[in-house]
Amino acid sequence: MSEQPQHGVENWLSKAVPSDPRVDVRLRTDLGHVNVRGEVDNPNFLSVIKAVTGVSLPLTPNTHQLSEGDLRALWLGPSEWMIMAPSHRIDDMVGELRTRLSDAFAAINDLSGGMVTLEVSGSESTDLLSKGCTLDFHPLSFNPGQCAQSGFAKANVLIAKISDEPRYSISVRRTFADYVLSWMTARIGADGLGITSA
Amino acid sequence: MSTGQPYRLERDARVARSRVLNFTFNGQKLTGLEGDTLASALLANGIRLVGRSFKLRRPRGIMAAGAEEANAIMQIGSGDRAIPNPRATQVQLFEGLEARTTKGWPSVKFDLGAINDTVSGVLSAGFYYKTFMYPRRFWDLYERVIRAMAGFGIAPDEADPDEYEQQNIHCDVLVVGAGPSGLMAALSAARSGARVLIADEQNEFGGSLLSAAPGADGDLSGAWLAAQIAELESLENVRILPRTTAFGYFDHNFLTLAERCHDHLPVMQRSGVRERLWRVRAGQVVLAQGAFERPLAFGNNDRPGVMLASAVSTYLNRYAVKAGDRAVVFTNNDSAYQTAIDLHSAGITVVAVIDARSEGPGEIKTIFDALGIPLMAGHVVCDVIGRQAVKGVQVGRRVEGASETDIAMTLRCDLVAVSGGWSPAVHLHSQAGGQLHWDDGLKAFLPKPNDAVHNISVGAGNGIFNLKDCLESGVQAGAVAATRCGFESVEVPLPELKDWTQAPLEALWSVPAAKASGRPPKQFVDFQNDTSVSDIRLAVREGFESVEHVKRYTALGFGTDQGKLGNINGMAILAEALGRAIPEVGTTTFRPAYTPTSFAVCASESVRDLYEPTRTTAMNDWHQAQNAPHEVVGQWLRPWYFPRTGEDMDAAVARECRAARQSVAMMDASTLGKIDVQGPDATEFLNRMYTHDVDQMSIGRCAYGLLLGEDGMVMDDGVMARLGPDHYYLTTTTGGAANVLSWLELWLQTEWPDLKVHLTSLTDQYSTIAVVGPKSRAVLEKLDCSEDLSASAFPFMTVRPATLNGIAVQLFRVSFSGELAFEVNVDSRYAAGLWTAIYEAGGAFDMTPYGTETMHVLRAEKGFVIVGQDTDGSVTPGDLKMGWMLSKNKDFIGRRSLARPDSRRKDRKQLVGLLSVDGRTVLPEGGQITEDAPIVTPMPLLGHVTSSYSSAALGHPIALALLVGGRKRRGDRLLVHSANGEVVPVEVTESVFYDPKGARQNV
Repeated sequence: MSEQPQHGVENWLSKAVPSDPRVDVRLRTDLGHVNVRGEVDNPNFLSVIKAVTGVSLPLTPNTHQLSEGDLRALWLGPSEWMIMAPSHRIDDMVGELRTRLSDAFAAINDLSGGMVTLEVSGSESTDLLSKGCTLDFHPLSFNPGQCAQSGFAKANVLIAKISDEPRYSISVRRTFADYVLSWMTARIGADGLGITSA
Repeated sequence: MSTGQPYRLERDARVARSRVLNFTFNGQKLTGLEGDTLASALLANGIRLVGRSFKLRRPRGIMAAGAEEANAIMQIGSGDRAIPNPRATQVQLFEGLEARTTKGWPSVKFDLGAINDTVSGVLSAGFYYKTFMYPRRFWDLYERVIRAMAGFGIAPDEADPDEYEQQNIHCDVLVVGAGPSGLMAALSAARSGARVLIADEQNEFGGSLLSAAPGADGDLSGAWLAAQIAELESLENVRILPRTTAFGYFDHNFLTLAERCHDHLPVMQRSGVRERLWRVRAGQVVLAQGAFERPLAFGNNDRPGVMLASAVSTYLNRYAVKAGDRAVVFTNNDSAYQTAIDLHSAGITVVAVIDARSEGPGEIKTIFDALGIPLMAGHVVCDVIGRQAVKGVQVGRRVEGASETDIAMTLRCDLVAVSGGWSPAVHLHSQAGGQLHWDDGLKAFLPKPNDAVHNISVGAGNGIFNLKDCLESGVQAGAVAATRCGFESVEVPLPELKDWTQAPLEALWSVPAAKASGRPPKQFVDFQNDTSVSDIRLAVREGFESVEHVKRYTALGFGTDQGKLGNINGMAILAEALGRAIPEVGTTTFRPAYTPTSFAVCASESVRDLYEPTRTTAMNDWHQAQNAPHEVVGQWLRPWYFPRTGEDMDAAVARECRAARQSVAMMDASTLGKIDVQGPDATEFLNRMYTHDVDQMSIGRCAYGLLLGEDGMVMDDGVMARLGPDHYYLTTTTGGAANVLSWLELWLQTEWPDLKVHLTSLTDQYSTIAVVGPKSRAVLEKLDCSEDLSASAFPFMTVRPATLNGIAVQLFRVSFSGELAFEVNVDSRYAAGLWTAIYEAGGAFDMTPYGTETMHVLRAEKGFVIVGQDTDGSVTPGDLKMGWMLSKNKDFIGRRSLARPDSRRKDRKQLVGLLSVDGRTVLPEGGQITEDAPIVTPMPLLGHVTSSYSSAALGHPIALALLVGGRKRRGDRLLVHSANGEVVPVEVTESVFYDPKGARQNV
């Protein structure tokens, strides 16, 4: 298998990066995505996830947990999470989870080919998010450790605040990534948006 | 003064004298000053006639200084940036502004339409309804003439070149209006630490303070105002939005604000976003919108030069513009006395103050009397002399209860400053669902406190007209709002102000007319719509009672000002005529937008390329490189066909079809919806949702799955594959993907939460490559396939995990073409690479990529339906001849509905095939079907053509159709009608045209 994986956003990297962007977008094509479904009242489910991935699934709604090795678990629903981890870890992780949870009421789906995560930072990043999304991104109500599923313009997104800087992680279905980046470019202007790879 | 602005005064005001701005009005070159509105600049130039009324074409002048202006409706700019219908009172002057009046032909001074005024006796309320009804066939003509006469400005034909955007924002306290009350509310909330947003429609904060006479007793318009604004600007928890109108107040304290970012700048200096839509979600809202002064309804009260008293003061104090040289003030309350004082102190002759009240004013009398202005208490202005401008007024004694009075004297003047009291701007309060109550002292509707929607009305907007009390109400509301949001309130010291005792206002809804022979002059209530006192009374005589009906009969409260000026007067006159109390009559409904708001800002950035997301598959770059045009399928852009050099669409599709039928072809089917279903109850769940026996499927089997609505109608279809004992994989139609997932989740979460099933969308995860045709097996075998692809090892309608060139795939043996075919599902990251590899591996067989058009032809030849094209939500499986898909062994969604008599009617529309009798004509999709009979309209319509193509494999066109009782009509001759009137004779056939036994796919 010699082919380089393609996320459908690679063309954006050929655009010139402005010298002093107001918003930085890092295309985290190095990250894989695993959708995890299971029951929180099954202690085995939680402990297997912890043992295999190293992260404890967050049980508080709309929060996320970071663990060693750039691995993050985000709460999506009472029985649903997204785990984001470096792509090279995904195949083994998915395989091991499926094996060890084969008797549990759980579903492990690799969505690495279907999701793209953008990290958005910079002086106008909060402003940009507020243009496209109705949530309150003020530090009084959205802080590192929190995440939410919402709309951004007309795309569905999973937004997590990952540092105070501020820096946000925005995960979007791959077929909406181009639209989201076009929308951001239109709002901030090509001279204000710097798109780089991970 | 060298500005050439004869009505500009040498006095301190909020205009920059050194910054002269050039502008044009109806082509005439004029100058104004920075800080002017278009209205103040026109008045500074002595221009009074600014428009013609809507119906009677009477000459009209500027009446107000704000949003309530009904007459000065302009056309600003030209070409693609032309702005129709802004109020001159709200247009900030800029260098190079071009303004035109919107009424009056050939000119505003000489308007041929003014004939309407001469015959106004017949143009009373309801004239249009009564006159243009008959004869009915003339309505087309009437409508054209009426439309040409009606309307104001002209919207540009060109696309809007400007940019607009929206911004969501959350705050604890939103303050609407930055007058004295609003500023205090914002400050007191902000000091407590709350996140505060304060917006005002004007360019400058200050509201009524901006109109105060500078240096007068208790004047806060200077240093005090500047200090308050400076503090708000300095606070990090405050955002201030000047030039921003809160125009809509919706449920849950959601408000929409339109910010005009650069309309006040010369065109060359404008950049970036023109207007911004603020979508505000506020914890608490403080409504500090102030109040509108009411005019009085006396004869010819619409003549240019009759103005609201407060507007006269505003032009004087804020813009240093005198609206006239000799003024008469006519009032029924104390506030206009301030205008008389303002005029006098600016050196303008005040001929007299005519006060309808016999007692005259309250405490302000002490100042007023010292000035020596004549006061005529217990008198009214009953008529105005002058046509295009006020030349004088006729004054009569007011006799209680009399509708006429003798003219006591004529006063020569060129300005009439009028005050009929004040109406709080309750618009947003009412939009939010708040109730109003009538205050009989103030003669005004006031907002009823409405805790349910978390807002507080303050200041003049709450019927508080004393500056000291306004400031206090603001401070208090700010503190309450902040406290409700969890903050601790903080003291806000207020300046020492005198509390003026006012004499009560006296209602004077219609002014007694001068005794005269002949028809009395019109007393206007709604100036823009020419609604007069007599129109409202006529409506009542003709039987109208409800205020909403009277509004529609007389046009009271329509138009760009939405009754801001005239509505309360109109309702009071209606109440009088009905003999009812005003609160019984009530108000009309207040709806967004508060002032006219551009469509562009509502659409904001969702236009052109960003109107809708466009989705493309992982192979799109390859398709584009082959010059495949896109077909738009919902949000998806799919390759339509792959033309070779010199080929048109028909030729390309015919070639692609031949390749699929004779050799091998491939298509990108990635847009199909894909859903992973897992859990111990997955089989039970799917058995309840789908029509076939899911529990009979063995692992590795695929089945065609049909999903019905509760009404038994076909909702979606796709392939279901059983991957494990508790594990399924569903595909859905491209357009149905999201709906099907929601539909399944809905049943799981709301009806059967006991079922243990997990659903996960895999639509974006997997790309799908269909390899189709007799040689498809041979092509895949060249890709180092991990599985034995032979018919015995890998039969039709099965699925296997496999690898192709080492890439993991799910390999399906399914067919949407009727040919031997495989569908490869692959991680989208590797789809483009695998697509190329398959294409190259097929080179020996002239591998042919094909698009959606060929897919349609291939499936139509086989009679396969597309849900949503061959069905429309009213089609049962039986109608599609798919009764065999309905299990008799179990229940499933929609089953019971299929037992209804209606679902079993013999004359239901059923799927059939149609062939044009001439064997050449491709039938029009959507074409209606009738009996083959002489065409007499109307004739019964028997159904329509749903799919139609020319078929290369068959050598003639084919069509699918839904036809009444179609199954019994095989061999019948019918007619298909196209939109252009052509009629094609057709023959009804079976819906499967090609390989009816299905031998070709099962090899």
